[in-house]
Amino acid sequence: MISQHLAQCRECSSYTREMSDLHTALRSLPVKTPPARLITQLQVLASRERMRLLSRGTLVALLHFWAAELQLFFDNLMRPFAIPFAGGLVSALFLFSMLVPGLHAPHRATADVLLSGIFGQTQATFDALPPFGFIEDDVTVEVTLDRDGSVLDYSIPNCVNGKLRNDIANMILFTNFQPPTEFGMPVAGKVLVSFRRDRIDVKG
Amino acid sequence: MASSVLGLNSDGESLGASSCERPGTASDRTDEELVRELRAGEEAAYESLLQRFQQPVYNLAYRLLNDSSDASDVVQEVFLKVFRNVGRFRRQSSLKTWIYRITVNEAHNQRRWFFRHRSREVGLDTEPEQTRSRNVPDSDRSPFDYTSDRERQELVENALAQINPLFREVVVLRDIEDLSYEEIAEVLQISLGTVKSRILRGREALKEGLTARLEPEPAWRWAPE
Repeated sequence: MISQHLAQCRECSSYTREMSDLHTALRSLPVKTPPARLITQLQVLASRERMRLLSRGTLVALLHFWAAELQLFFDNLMRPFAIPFAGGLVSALFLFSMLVPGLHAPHRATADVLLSGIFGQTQATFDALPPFGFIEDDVTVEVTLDRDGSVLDYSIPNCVNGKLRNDIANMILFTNFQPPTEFGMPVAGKVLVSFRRDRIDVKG
Repeated sequence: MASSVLGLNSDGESLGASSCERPGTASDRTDEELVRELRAGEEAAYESLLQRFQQPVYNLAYRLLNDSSDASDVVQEVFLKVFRNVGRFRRQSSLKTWIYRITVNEAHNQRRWFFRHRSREVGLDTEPEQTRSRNVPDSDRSPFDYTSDRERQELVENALAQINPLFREVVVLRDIEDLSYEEIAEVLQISLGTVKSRILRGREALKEGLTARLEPEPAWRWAPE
């Protein structure tokens, strides 16, 4: 019926022919081939999306994925604070280390006696001096202590005469020594005690 | 990693760049199989999808936008959406019409973005256009025939680029991509009557454009002495 009409109607026939030619012209347009760069990009995209899909496939993979995401988020969150935090911590440690010697408790010496040292890790101390008057000259005595602080031996220079020797022996005998310690444990050691006119020096 | 997964050879050339699909891979899979394998993350399915659709999607995007770089951007967006949303593909339409619908929508978005942002930019991409003729070359044809065909194609392309985008979509889908009226209605989400109306008006507009371009210049003009 349509073909009969087209055979008779010149206008419709012409219009149909024009549309057919137009369709042919459109069909003859060259097919655009994607550039090689685009094809490569699509393959990379597909690979990435596949790995992304597989990383969320199972519960374990999903947990790993969220853990990695959380870690990345935390890293990104902390990175701006990392350098200031580290710098502040180092500065605080440095300043604290500078201040610590000043915070150390001063050594308390009594009766003008200075304990200047002892062999071992810590200094020896004494509790009290005997109530004797003292000495006419300066003398240095080496005292050997056991771990209980008891005097095992002492050596007095030969130049010291008999009375002064007895006075020194009495002073040592009635002095309570605290033994030196090593790693917190009392140990035996030697002490140099300098008797002077107005004070006693103890050197380890 | 991508090269090993998806078949790049050592020169970076793609196996999928060839127009011929390897037998037994892309063309043998039904849509359902392809979608199921894509959801399972099978490597071959991704390659098959690209082989089957990258060229028609690019061709469609190019015909809608008339610009190769814009078409490339659209194609990447399309496949990104396909890969990410294939799990939500409800099979109410064919895979082809679903992907074409995404392409048309992305081309819409790209056109809107172009008019807002890039209409005054000048592209520096000088990569030559790659085209492939539908017809087998005839060795008996003369250079004049080739030149004539080329000029005619340029005329049609220019006229197609000038018509209303709404009409261009349906004309491209019908006369170039060879979709049926029903498929076009699914792709564009419009009624069948609207499809027919737009095709008619699009062809009319195209014919008018071609006629205006083909009218011969007057051989002489009146000129004041």
